[in-house]
Amino acid sequence: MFESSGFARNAPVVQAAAADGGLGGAARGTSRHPIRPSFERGGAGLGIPNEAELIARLRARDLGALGELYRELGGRMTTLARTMLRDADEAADVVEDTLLRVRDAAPGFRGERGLTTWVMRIVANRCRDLLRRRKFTAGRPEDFDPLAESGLRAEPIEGWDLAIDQERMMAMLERAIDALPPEQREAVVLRDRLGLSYDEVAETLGVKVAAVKSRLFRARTALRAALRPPGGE
Amino acid sequence: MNHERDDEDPGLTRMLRAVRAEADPALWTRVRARIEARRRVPAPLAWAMRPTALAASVALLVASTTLALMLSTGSSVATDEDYATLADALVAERDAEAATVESAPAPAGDAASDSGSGM
Repeated sequence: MFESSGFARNAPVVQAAAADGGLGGAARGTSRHPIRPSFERGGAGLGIPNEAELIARLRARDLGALGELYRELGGRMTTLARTMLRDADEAADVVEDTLLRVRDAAPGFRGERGLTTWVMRIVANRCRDLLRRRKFTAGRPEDFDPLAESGLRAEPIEGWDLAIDQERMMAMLERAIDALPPEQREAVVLRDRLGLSYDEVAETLGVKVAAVKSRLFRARTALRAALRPPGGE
Repeated sequence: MNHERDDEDPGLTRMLRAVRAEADPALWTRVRARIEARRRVPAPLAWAMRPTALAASVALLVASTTLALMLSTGSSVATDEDYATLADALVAERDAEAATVESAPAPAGDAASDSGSGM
């Protein structure tokens, strides 16, 4: 499906960049701000293949590169936006705006932060803006289904105890995530749902690693409490 | 509080990771269309359409309108409303007429000789 819309996985690479060990002159960044792919900075292995080359192409406003970026990060961007906002349409708007913002700002992107964290940070900031505005709107209805409303999909968990209703548990978990303060919610989504490293989460949220750990501790404690059966330990 | 101690919870993480969303190809199509549309707009027009430029234009319009109104009000001539009473207005009108008559040019000399002195 993606092939017809600029998503071809084997998109032609920039020959000059390839011959140059993966980076053209413009892609190297400056000596003060060298581009370092996220996997070199202790990322969780979720770095984008040929990230430096992709950054170079984004800087050159290559539309194909933006498509490639969306192919690589679109799922994670959408998951973050949908979990934060619980509204598929609003989440789509956030992702769309983020891609346009990336295109506009790419020439000035110095690569100090990894591409993934940079993009996810834009998504997180946009979600935060929307949530702030939403303070003045009506609350959710009683029968609100967080998974269905947000367009998220729950996959079967391998080795799940069949005695426990997975669907019900997942719905409980999503409601518990919804009840978390936004800063804890984004930390738990980035780390536990999307698998970013602590460093990447800290970079994405613009806080220290200790703050991320603190938020995660509180979030996980709240989530465990929400999933605990009534009267259980 | 030791956050590291309680860091890992495989059960919770497994449940959290089981939920996800996929990239939507239709969204990419929309983004591409928006970028193509922006490319077609001439640069000066695109600049003029920016929200900041638009806001600046509106502010400039309001400022110039206000200034024009202030200037026109300040330079206006005296009107009937400037007189306190009808009598004042009539006196002023009479004075103005008198001034006009006084400033009128005197009749020419040959006109008087033609009026009847005879030959």
